Amino acid sequence: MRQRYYLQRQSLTGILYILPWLVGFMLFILGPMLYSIVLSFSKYSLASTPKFVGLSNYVEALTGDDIFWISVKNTVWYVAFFVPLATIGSLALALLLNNQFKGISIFRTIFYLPSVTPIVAMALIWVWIFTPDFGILNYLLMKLGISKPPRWLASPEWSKPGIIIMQLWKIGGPRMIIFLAGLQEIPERLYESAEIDGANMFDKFIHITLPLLSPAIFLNIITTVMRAFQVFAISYVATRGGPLKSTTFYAIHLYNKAFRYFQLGYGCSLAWIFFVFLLLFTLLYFKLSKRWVHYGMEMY
Amino acid sequence: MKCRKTLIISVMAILLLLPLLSWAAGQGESGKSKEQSAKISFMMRGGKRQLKFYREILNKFTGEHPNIKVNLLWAAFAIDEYFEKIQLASVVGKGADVFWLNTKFIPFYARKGMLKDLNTFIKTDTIDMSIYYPKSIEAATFDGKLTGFPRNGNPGFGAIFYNKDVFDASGLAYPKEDWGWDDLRNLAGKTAKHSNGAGKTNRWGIANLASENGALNVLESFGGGYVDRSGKKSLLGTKESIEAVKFIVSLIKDKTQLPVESDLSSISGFGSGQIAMMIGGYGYIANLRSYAKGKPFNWDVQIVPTGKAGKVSSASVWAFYSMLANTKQPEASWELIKFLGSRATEKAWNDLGGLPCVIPEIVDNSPLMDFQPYANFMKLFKYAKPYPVPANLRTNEVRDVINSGLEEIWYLKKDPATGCRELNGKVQKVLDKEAP
Repeated sequence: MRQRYYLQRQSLTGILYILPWLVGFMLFILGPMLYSIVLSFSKYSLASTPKFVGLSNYVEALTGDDIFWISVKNTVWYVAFFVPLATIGSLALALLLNNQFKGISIFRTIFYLPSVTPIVAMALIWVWIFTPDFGILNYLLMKLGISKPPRWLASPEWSKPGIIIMQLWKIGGPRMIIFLAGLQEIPERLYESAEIDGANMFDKFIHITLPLLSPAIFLNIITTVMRAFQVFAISYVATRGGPLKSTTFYAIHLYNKAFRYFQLGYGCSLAWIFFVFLLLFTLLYFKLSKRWVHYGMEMY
Repeated sequence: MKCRKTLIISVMAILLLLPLLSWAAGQGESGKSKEQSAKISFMMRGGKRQLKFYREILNKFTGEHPNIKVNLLWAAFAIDEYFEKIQLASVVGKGADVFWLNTKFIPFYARKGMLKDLNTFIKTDTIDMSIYYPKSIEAATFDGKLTGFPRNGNPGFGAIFYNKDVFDASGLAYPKEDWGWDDLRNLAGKTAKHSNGAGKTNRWGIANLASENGALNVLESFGGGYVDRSGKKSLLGTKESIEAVKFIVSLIKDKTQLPVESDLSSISGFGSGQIAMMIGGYGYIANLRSYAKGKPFNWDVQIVPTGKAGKVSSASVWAFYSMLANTKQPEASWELIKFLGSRATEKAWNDLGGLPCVIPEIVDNSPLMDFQPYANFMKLFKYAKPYPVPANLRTNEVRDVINSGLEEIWYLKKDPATGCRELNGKVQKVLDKEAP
């Protein structure tokens, strides 16, 4: 009886501790989310009262909105190239910075810095670097003998790769830190045993590093995919979705509909289509992860 | 014990009542202060020069009206974002009491009932509105209500800026007022300079025709346009519009028009002689003047060539000071608007040398008229046409569809006839929708 009372009291204390977060979550996240479901079934322009329109916003998005499918295509393209490049890049950088030598912490700090640079400042710097005729990048490419370098953000063919390069500048951020933490968790003795068995660097990476790093890889991929699907600010600042809609990503289209054209109801329906898609993707990813993610030292 | 309990309850009751009593006292005070002083907000946008100007003006205003405190909300960001901010702020009840609007967006706010009718105030204070350009009053009048007080005029985007040094070096006569579009094509062709067997262009004959405002000018001068004056019909599929688009595309193909993907800045490109001519509006006057101070060169302005529909200076966007319909301080807001739109403030604004003010007498007698390019630019007032606004108020949506459709043509991804017809259908589809 006394123990039960003690547990109840402990639970109450716990609830009290998380109460501020819980109230904030209900008021500022869950509440608006639920309200946005209601709005997604209505016509609402901010300046008028919402009018119920049933499923027509969803039908319009999937069948009558040309830009919807362009934005889906652009976003999928971006995610398909950005996620592998960012994951491999961050892992490579983490492997490099996992070495112990004097001054390593300075290198780690330098590589981390771009990730704390405000996105608007970063985008503006890269716009200048990418300037086709007067930018420093094309100047260097021409010096290297490329007579007709890409027109980067001014060209529909090169604008998405340009955006990806801009984003890859931040590979030394939290993703790399997670990899670094994961690498430092791997016991040295495993590498030593492998060396005795004659394993070379590649063998050690494939058979020890990768399997033991799989939880970190799993976490990084899922968070990178989530963020990549929501790509917005960089394109909004650098290209405004152009040229020729080549960087009109899903979030840009959603923003235009909701806040530039004042179709809030329609914007909410786009957000919910996106939410359902991401939810299904995440569930599938979690299911598949059981085949290749190994937690702790369970395999050794 | 009982006595102690009663004492505790009494103290707690007093403590609980205290905030209520102080609120009631505050109500009385603020009720009293309302009669004596007012606090209003004023939202504006622009660059550093404008910010400095408005700070000085507001200082003068508060000097004359010590009982009115004005909170200046300055928006340094792009014009479209400014309108988004106004709209969102108004809806959530954080709208400024007085704010700047222009002819592209005033219909949206006016028809949504978000703007106060200023006629009542004007009648009460017997303001002489005949000193202002009649066009400025017409543009802000909706259903007999004056929804904005005139702030500045705009002769439009029909000025052709030309680099006199380039013309002199090429041995060409400067463009004359009676010129046509074929003359422009000839001059652009003769001033353009290529090397490597036309593989590289060292100087472009003309710039900015393949832009939202530049193309509108050509289209309207040819007799076409984007949207008709009723705001209900797309004009992009008309024979005249297609002809105009073909004209611009031919200049792109000839490598005389600066391509849309170029990163050559209009001002430095023009000033350095890499661009011989460019179409533009008021913004270039001040910028070129300032550029020429550092790197002197000779330039002037000629009004737009004559097309089938005569001379047109399109995209003339006039600006106003509007009052939020549900402002809690209408009298104080009106005092501010009256001050901002007064002859003295308008003169000070005109002297800045940017957009002309809305009082013709000040514009005509301004010392700025001694500067030849400025005086030539002002001749455009005669041909100024407002930017077409869709009747269903879907201005941003229509603009985005037009710009992305034309972009495909300027990038030579679609031929002008097919591109224009397809675009016509897309624009009409948006125009046929009901208001958002």
